Amino acid sequence: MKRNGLSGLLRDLKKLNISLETSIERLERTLKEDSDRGKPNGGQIRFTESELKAEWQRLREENHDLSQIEAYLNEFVANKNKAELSAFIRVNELPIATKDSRKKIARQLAQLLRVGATVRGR
Amino acid sequence: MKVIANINFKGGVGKTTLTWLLAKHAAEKEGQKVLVVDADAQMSLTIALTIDEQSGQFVSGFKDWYEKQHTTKNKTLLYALDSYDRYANGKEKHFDFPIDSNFVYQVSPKVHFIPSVTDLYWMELELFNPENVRGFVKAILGKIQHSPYKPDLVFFDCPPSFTALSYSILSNCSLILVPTNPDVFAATGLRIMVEGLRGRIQPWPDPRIVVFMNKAGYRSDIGLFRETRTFMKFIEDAAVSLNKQGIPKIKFLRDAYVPFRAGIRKSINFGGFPEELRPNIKLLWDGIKAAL
Repeated sequence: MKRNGLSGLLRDLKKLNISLETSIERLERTLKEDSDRGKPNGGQIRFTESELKAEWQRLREENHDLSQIEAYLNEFVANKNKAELSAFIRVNELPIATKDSRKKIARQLAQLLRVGATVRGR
Repeated sequence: MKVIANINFKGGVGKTTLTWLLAKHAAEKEGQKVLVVDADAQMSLTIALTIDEQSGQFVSGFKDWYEKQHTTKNKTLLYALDSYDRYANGKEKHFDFPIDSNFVYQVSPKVHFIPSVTDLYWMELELFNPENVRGFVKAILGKIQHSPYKPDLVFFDCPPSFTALSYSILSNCSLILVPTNPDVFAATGLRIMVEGLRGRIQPWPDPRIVVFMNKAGYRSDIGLFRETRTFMKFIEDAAVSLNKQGIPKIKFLRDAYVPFRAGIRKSINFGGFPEELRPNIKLLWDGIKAAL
């Protein structure tokens, strides 16, 4: 009876161990993916302040197809790591929260460019 | 004598308040003799300067003058315009409209004021051909220049539309001042207005056009709000774009913004001046002077 009880406990512990290992593996994979995504250079800023300003000016001046602008900006945002995006927003004093998701940042940038095009006229 | 027309086709941008603040600043701090003209039939400036908000009545001195001299004796802007129209139509030989104390009200030794009348709006629609009265402002300013008032500066608070009177003002002023706000409608108004005026005001590209941000989002601890800064960039872009389209004399005064203040409209009642905005008004006036 005692022997049967210990065997059952061992079986349960082994199951628990397997599921713990699976969870750890999954977590490690997720963390690695997160760390790799959008950080082509490990989170360093590859642009100077004046380059980031010039980039915002270029975005404002280019005659974008405003119906396609969001897709364009999704790509623009995807090509920058989070630190670069934050710097882009900060340097150009944009009314966008740096902690927002990439998708939301792209959407807000699109909105700003639409307003800018209306004000400037085109 | 320099003539400044304050206009934006979008209403509510603060042109009436700013017309008064700039005129008062120029008179009080720069010793200039100023004449302020309320050319808007909505009479916002006239009301702001002369109505006691509590009683809803004109302040006593102005009330007597307005009712017993200005309107009763047919010495309003409307009659001046009508008189010029008759002259321009060949119905009269001369533009005979005397510039005296029935037409011009003295606010202070350095500030004189020509109020508006609500009839201006309807009468203007019915009577005046804009081409006929285009020379009106030039003619009346010529008379004023040779009168005892002889101002150094004339400020016109224009209606937010293209009337026969505003056509005459814009065709004969030294500088068009365009206040804008950090919102898409007010900011877009600049381009719409300038493009519209381009085909109508002769000679073009005169006069100079100065644009500035009014009601800017600002807090002393953080400075200008990011949204305001972004709109300032957009307006600057619009000015550059208009420059490229052959409107060279348009200038955006980036640093001469006026912060939003709740209740600023009330602060000019009876000719008041919100002193906390003095540095901003000074900066704006300096920018305008440099452009004049």
